[in-house]
Amino acid sequence: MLQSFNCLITLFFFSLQLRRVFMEEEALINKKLPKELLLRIFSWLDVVSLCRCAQVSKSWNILALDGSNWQRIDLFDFQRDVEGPVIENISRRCGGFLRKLSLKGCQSIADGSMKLFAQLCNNVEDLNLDGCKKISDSTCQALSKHCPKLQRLDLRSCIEITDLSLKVLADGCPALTHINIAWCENVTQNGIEALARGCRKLRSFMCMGCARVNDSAITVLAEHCPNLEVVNLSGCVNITDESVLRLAENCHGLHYLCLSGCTMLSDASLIVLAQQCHLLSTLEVAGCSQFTDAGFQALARSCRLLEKMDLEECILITDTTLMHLGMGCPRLEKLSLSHCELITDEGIRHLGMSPCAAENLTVLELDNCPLITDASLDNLVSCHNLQRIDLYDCQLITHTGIRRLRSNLPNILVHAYFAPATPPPAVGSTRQRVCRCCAIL
Amino acid sequence: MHDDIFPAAEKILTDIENIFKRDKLLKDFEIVPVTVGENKSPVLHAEHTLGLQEWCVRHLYVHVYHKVMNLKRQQRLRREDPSVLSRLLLGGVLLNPDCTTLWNIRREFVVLGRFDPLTELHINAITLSRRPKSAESFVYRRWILKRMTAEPLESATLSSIIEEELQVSLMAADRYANNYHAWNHRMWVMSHIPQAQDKFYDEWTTSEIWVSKHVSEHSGLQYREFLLNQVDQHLEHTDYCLKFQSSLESFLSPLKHSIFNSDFSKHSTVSQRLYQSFVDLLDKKESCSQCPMNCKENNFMLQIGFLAYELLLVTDLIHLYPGHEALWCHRRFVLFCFFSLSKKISCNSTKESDIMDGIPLPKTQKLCVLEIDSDKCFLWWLVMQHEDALIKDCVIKTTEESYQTKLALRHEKWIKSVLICKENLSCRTQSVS
Amino acid sequence: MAKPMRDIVLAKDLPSTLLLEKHIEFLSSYGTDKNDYEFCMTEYMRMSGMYWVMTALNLAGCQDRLPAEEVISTVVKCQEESGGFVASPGHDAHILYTLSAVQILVMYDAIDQINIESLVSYVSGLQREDGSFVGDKWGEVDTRFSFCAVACLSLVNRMDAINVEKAVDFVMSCMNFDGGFGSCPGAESHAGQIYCCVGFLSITGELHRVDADLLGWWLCERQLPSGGLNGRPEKLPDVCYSWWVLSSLSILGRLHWVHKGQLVKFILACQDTETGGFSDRPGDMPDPFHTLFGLAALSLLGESPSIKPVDPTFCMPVHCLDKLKSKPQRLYT
Repeated sequence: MLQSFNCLITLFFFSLQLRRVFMEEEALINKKLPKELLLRIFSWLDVVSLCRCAQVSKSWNILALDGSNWQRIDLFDFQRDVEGPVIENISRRCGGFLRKLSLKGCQSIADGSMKLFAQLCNNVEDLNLDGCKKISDSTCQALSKHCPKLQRLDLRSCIEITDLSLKVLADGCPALTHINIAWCENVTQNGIEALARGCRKLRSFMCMGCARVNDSAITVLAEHCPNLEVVNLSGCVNITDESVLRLAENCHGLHYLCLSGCTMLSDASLIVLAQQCHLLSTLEVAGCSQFTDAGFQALARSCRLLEKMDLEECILITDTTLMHLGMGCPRLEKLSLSHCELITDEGIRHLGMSPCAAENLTVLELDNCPLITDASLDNLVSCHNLQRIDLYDCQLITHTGIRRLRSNLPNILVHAYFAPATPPPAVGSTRQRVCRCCAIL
Repeated sequence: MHDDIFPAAEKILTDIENIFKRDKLLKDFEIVPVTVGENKSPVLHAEHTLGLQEWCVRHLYVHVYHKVMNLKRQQRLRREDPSVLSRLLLGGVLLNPDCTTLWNIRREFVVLGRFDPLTELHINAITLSRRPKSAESFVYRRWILKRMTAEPLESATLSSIIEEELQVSLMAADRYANNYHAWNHRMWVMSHIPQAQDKFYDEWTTSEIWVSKHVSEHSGLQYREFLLNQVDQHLEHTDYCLKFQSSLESFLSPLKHSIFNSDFSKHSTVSQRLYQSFVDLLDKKESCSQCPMNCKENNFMLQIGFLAYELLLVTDLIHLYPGHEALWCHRRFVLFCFFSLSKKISCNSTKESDIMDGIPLPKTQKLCVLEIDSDKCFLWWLVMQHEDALIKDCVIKTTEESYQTKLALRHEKWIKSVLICKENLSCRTQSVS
Repeated sequence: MAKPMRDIVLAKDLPSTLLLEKHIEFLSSYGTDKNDYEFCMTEYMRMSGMYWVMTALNLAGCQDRLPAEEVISTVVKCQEESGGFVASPGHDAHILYTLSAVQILVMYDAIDQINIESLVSYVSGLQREDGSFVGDKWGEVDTRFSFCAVACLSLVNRMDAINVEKAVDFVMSCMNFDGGFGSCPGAESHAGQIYCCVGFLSITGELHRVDADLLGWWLCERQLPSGGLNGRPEKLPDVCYSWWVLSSLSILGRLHWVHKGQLVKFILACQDTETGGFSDRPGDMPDPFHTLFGLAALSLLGESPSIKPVDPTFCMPVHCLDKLKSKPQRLYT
C-alpha cells in the first residue's frame, strides 16, 4: 500500500524522470492496442492503478496522466494524507475534464485549494466534501462563481458552513439537484429559504441534525422546489406538522422521507402524507412518539407503495397498525418495530398472513418488543424472503423457538443475544495461558 | 463471515459503545461472572461501571479480532465504515488491552484525526480499570499525552490533564499491588508534562499517606525516592521550612545528650560548621522561620531536613509494621543519600562554599569507594546513631527467628559490607536470605 | 503480629524430578488452532511464542519435533520491508519480535535467508539521539529495547551499525542506587529489566560499569525461603524470575550466591505432572514461556545433565552461538 499519497502525486505530476522502465515503447501491448483504446481502458482505473500505470513507461506515463482519465476521482482512501497541494495538482492536471470528485474524510483540505479547484475544474458536476471540516463559505463562493454545472454537492459535517454558502450556491449553481447539509448546525431558515428560491431543480434535500431548521424554512423549500423526491429532516427537532403539510401539498413525487426524531409531529402528519404522497416508498419516523394507530391506518390505506418503514420507538402503536400495514402495503420489505412495546404475537400474526409476508418482507426488527413470544416466530414461517430478524432483548423468545424458525427458513439471520451453538472452544480454565505481565521478552 | 457465527457481536459492541457515549463519567469495566446467556443484553451499566457478562467474552473477542485483522490484512481499515470500526476497536482494547496491534490501529486513526485524543484517554483509563497493569495501555496513554502536550496548552488544560493522570495512576496502583507501570507512569507525568513539577509538594504529602497505608509496596516507596532525588530543585517552598525544621529537631533531640558531650574537633571544617548549626538549632538560637530561605546554608539544612523526615517516617513504619522488606529497602535509599552527603562533608579538600551551595542529592547513584568514618563526619555519626538504635530495638523486641530480626540484621550487614566498606564483601555467605 | 514473609509453601506431593518427556510433549503440541480464543488473544506476540517453544525444545535436545522448514519459512515471511519483524502476518513490526525472529533463525542456522542489511537498518533506525532505543515506530523507550537491539545486531555480527557508546550511556543512566536497573531513568529496579541491562552490558563488553557486588547482593535477596526467586521486594516467587535473576548473577560471575538446591526444588515443583510444562508457581496453568525459563534456569544451575548448556545473555543453547564473532562478556570471581 502506498505510504503517502502526497509523495506519490508529487512524484507523478512533477517528475519527468521515470524511475523504472518495465516496458519499452515497442512492447507488444502498445503495438497491438491503439492509444485511444488504452486511454479508454485507463479511464476505468482508480487513482492508485493509474499512478502505477504511469510508472510503466514514458508513453504510458503520458497516457495515464491524461486529464481525460481523471474524470472521476475518489480520495477517500487517503483522507488525512490528502493535503492542499494534492488537490491543486489534481485540479491543474484534470482541469475541465473532472466531473466527479470525492474528498470524503479529507479533513486537511482547506478553502485555498478548493478555490483553485473551482477555478480550474469548472465542469464539475458532483462534489463530495463530506467531513472536510476546514472548508467554509469561501469554498462555496468559489463554486458559485466558477462551477455553474454543479448538480450534486455533499457538505455533510462541513461545520463551518453558514447561510452565506447556501445563498451563494442559490445564485451561482441553479443546476443543483442534490444537496446534503447534514450537521451544518450554523444553517438557519434564511439560508434554506435562499437556496430554495435559487435552486428550484432540487430533488434531494438532506439536513439531518440541523436543529435550527424550522417550519418556515421547510415551507419555502416545499413551495419553490416541487420536484423534491428525497427529504431527510431527521433530528430537526423544531419542525411541526406544518412542515410535513407543506411538503405533502407541494411535492407529490416524494418517495423518501425521514422524520426521525422530530418529536413534535402528530398523526396529522401521517394523515396528510396519506392524502398527498402516494409514491412514498420509504418512511422513517423513529422516535416520533406521538404517532398512533390512527395515523398509520390512514397511511396504510393510501400509500400502497411503501417498502421501507422505520417505526422504532413509536411507542403508542399497537397490533392494529400491523394489521393495517399488512393489508395496505403489499410491497413492505423492511420494517422496524424496535421498542414498540405494545406489539404482541397477534400483530405479528397479521403481518405473517399479509401479502407482503410471502413476497417481499426481508427484514423485520422486533428487538425490545417484550411481549413477543415464540408464537410470533411460528407465524413468520411463510415469509420465504425473510433474511434477517432482530429479536434482541425479547425475553420471551427461546432458543427452541429460534431453532424452529431456522428449520423452516434455513437462510435466515437471527439476531438475538444467545451465544452461538458452536462456540469457540472453551476448554481449560479462563486463565490466560501466557501472562504478558512477566513476558519481558 | 463471522457475523454468521455470532451475529449478536455487533449489537453487543454497539451496546457497549452507547454506554461510553452516554456516560461521560464512566470509570470502570468489569467482566461479570454470568456464564449462561439469555436473550438479554450481556452489557450492564450501573454506578458508572460497565459490566459484560462472561458468557459472551470469548465469542465477542474472537469476532472482533477476526474482523479487525481481516480488514487490516486486506488494507481496508480506512475504507471501513467509521462507526463499525470504532466499536470493533473499542471492544478489542477492552477485552485485550495487551494487544499492541489494536492500540496501533487506534494510533493511526488518531493521526488521521478520526479519533479524538481526549476520548482515547477515557477509553484507555477504562481498560486500565480492569487490567491495571497492562503495559501496552500505559504506553498508549503516554503516546497520546506526548501528542497532546507537544503543542502549547492553556495552563488550566494542563492542570486538568495532570490531575487526571495522577488519578489514573493512583487507581491502577490501588488495584494492583506493586504496580510497576502505574508508578512509572506517575514518574513520567511528573517529569515530562509541563507544569507537573508544581505538584511536587502535593505529591510529597499525598505519597506519604499512600505509602503509610501500603507498607509492602516497594513501588510506592520508590516513587518517594524519585521525589527525594528532586528535592534540591524544590527548596524554595517556605511552607516546608517549618515542617523540616521540626523534623530536624526530632532527628536531633533523642541524641541531644551525646551531641553535646562528644568531641567533633577532628572533623572537617564543613562538618564542624554543620555541628555548630545543629547545636544552634537545638539551643533555639537561630530559628528557621527568622532566616530567609535564600540563605544557602539553610538550603543545605533543608535537604538534610527532608532526608531526616524520611528516615523518621521509615523508622515509624518499621516499628508499626514489622517484617516488611520494602520498608528496609527504602531505608537503604535514605541512608545512601545521607551517605553521599556525608562523603562530601567529610572531604576537607572541597571548598566550603561549594558544599553549602546546596549539595545536590545523588542522581546517578554510583557508589565510589571513599573512606567514610563516623568519627570524621558529624552527619554520618548522627545517622549511625539512629541505625544502631533501630537495629537494637528490632532485635530486642522480636524473637531471634522472626523476619523482622532477620531484616534488621541484614540491614546492619548491608550498611557495613555494601554501603560503607565494600571490600568486606569478600567474606560473603552463600545466601543472605 | 509481625507479618510473615510474602512467599509460598511448597506442598509435599509436588514433583521433585525433571519430567522432561512430558515437557517435550507439551511444547510440541502447543496450540495452533486459529479459531481458538487463546490463539486470538496471543497472536500479536506469536513470534516470541515460537521462540519460547523452539528454544525450550532445543535445550531439551528435541528441536526436530518442530518442522524446521515450515518454522523457518514462517519466520522469514514475517520480515517487513522496513527490515523489522512482525509477530504474525498482519501485525506490526516491533523490536521484541525482531529479536525473537533472529534468535529462531540463528538456532536453525538460517539467518542468511533474510535480508540482513534491512534488518540492521531497521534496528539502527530505532536508536535515538540520547542512545536509547524505541520499540517500534510509535516511540516508546525502554531498556528492554536496548537489549533487543544489541542482541539482534550482535547475532548478525553488525554491532558497528549503532552508536554503542551512547547506547551504553543511556543504559547506565537507568542504574539505581541499589545497583539494579529500571525500564527508564529513575524507574524502580526490576529483575527483568536488570537481566536486559546486564545482558546489554555483556554484549557491549561494558560489564565493568556495573557494581557487581552491590547488584549481586540485591539479586540474591530475591531468593525466598521456598527457594523461589521474585523480581522485586515483597513480590511472590515466579519461575520466570529464576531465569532473569539467575542469568544476571551468572553473567556477573556470582551464580553461587543463591542457594542452588532450594531453587532447583522450587523450579521442579512448578512442573505440571499431567500436561507437562512449567507454570509460574505450583498449581497454576503451565505455558511455554515459563517452561522455557524453568528449563533454562535448570540448565544454568547445572543440575540436569539432560538439558543442554544455555547462554545466560542470549537465552539460547550455547552450541548455537559458535558463529558469533564477539562472545558476550562474563565476570568471574
